[in-house]
Amino acid sequence: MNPLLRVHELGVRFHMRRSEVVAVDGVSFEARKGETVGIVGESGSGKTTLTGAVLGRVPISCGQVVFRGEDVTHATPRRRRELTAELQPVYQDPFSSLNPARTIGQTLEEPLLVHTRLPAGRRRTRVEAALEQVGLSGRDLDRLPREFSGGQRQRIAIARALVAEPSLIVLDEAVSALDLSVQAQILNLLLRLQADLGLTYLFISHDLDVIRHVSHTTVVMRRGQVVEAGPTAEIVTCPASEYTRRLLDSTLVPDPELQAARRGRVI
Amino acid sequence: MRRLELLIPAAVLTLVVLAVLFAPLLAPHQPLEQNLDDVLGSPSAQHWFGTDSLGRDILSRILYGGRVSLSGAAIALAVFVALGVPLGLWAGFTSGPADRTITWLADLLLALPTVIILLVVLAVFKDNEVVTMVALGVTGSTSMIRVVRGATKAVRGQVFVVSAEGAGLNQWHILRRHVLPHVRGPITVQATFFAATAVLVETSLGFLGLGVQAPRPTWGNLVGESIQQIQPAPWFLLITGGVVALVALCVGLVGDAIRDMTATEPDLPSPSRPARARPGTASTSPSSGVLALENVTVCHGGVTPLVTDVSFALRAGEVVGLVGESGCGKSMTARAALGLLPDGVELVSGVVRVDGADVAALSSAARRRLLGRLIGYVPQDPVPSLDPSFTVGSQLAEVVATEPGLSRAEVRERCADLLRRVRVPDVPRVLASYPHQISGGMAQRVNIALAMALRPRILIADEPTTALDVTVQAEILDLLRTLAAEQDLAVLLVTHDWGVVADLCERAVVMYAGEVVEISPVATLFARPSHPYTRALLRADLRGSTPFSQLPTIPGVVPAAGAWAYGCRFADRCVLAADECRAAPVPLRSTPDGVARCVRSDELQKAEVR
Repeated sequence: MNPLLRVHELGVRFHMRRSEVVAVDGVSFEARKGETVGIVGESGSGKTTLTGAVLGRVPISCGQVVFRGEDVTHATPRRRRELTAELQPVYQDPFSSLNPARTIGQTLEEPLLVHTRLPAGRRRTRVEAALEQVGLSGRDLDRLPREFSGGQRQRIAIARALVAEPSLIVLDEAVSALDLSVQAQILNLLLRLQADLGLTYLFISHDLDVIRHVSHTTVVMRRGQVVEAGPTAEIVTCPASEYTRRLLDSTLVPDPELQAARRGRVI
Repeated sequence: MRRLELLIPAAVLTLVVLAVLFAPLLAPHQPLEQNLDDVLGSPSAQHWFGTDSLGRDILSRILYGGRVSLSGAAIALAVFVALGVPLGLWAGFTSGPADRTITWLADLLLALPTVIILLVVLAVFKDNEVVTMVALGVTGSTSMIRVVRGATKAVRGQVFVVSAEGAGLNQWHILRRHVLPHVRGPITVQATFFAATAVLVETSLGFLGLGVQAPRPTWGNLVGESIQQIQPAPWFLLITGGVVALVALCVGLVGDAIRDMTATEPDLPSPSRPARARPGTASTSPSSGVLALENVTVCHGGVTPLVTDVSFALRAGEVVGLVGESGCGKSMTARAALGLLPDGVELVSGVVRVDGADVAALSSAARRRLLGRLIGYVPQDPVPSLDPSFTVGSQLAEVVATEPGLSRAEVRERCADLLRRVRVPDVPRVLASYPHQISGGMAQRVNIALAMALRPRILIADEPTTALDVTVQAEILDLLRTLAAEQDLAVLLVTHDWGVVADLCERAVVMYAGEVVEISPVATLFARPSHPYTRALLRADLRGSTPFSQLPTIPGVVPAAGAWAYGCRFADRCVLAADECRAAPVPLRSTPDGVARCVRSDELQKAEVR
């Protein structure tokens, strides 16, 4: 089966005044339909630039992004706009990613106004359906973002991504700003939506534990390059690279005895 | 390009000011020297700018006239700055009654019409130029007060200012070192624009025949005179008016250039505000240690509680975790211990003991001094907590030098030693670096060094590794562990991460909805939590979960501070909740090796966590 998304030898360079910064260097991976690719890396690893390149927000210097067999590396602006219905992002900060002055209904309706010619009644039905899919109700349509908690806002951000009925959702640190119990709720929601709707996720996180929980395949990045990639179970049990091993050893275990034993190994 | 925009008008201004200043040396004629044979003469070799209706040399009159006009403007400017800057800083920094009074006075002045005030002053003081210009400075200062107050308020909430307070520096020092450099831009811009206004107002008054009277020249009365001669001698107005316009224009351009240069500085983010809350109950439990909180209740606006009846103690050398989700009051509890509650939030009851002494009983200045010395504070965001305009070395030296009797060399050596103790590899380079030049992990080491500078007994760290990469996190946790052991420090670690608790802490204080729900040694806490919230929060941790499985969650959300239940505050989200939980507030009860606020904690002990 052809992968839904194929990234091949992707490179992104930024030209500074005198120097050139290679933010992403020769990155390749594939995302099959209904599966999750986890991209893990520390700050400066280029994972956010990579998502920007996939979403068409960052100019690509070399390599290819192939979506549903179509080379979209240098898609025209018009084609890009059409593609946004298929490729939807969810960002980290649930407080700044929603316009505070617009009601939830207005925000969620926007993708439909851009991508469809549905009449107002049908748009409303779609928006209500999306809200119910994320565990909110149609009654919330006329409320403003400030009336919701952080976890609820992240549900709204997910609903906004769902409204356009995309096949791929790019989750950029989507649970990193959330409290522990809320993070668990949102991860449960994402896993359920994936099972129900056959969604494909590109899940970017600095947290290897989150990636381990949600990803079928994992790409470990460092300084713009892929350190190692493969099935998640293999990477977290027997990592091939020294760096991945160090990442694994540095993660903390919520168990005092086990953590004390691990501490000796951390460099 | 930017530099030229500043340099050209600044050079022109300097030339004009110097020429006016040295008028007695430079002027070719006396300003009052008449020559009735040569009235309204055109510009010539002898009279560069021509002569007026009494045959006086116009160039000389302009040079001498500038002495009146420019010194008038300088007086107004001096009053404007001397009044506006301190009042603005004071209002912006203190808030409270001083702020309200100053803002009210500024508003009142703003409502008065400046022109009428100046005319009244001129009438009362019989054309006294100095008094008039002082009056202009006073009425104008409202704009300076407002701008400085606003800029100060923005800087006031910055983490590095809060950190400086935490380090025990006095207010005057903080204002001068940490606040003033960041409000200098707006001050300069306001001052230059006011200077231009002052020049124009002074000449307008002269033009109207007010202030210094003819035959003594001022730029204003020269313009007035030249208007009368516009028919026979049009160049007269061109020259006199031109000088005034040139000076006002150049001052304005200098202001513009400075504004553009300062506008490139990054915007300061706004500080976060605490949430609102509602009253609760209190009980007692005695405790002892280096740091002890006893029945601490913290309220916002005097009525709405954010933290109620919190008691716990830290022994020397002990690391205690303060755990909970956001909105549970853990950061507010830490700030109460530091004596650094935000504006509008205060300790309404309870005692904070440091080394046995009740610090709440001290005056706020004495408390800040004492806590600054005894308690070190490590912030969450390492880089924004350092002042971007000073090197690491100078920020360390600033705190080290608060200890009296140290020579410069000793201060320098102490700074280097501090950095070595927090395992900074390249000490001289880091000392000479600005905060943006070092990595987040290095910046956090510097923050820890700052916290350790006055050899505190207690370290309070608010999510010290949340903003750091995992590989760096491990190093910082190791450092904190070593410091606690080597220096016998008591460490209070605010965190939401069970992994950090498991790694570093000996005991944990779990908070929910503004109160302590459990205190236990970590081994017990992880194996057999005594409160359902602790258990639920441990289970929600995805580490150790089966991949792709649905994680156990806690239904609902942490109630806002205003919406706490009368009985057990967790009851609405608790799987074990019974009627008795909701009937009355639940007191803390002893468990085998700690306390828990649950009526069913005995049953919970029997159930297995995992």
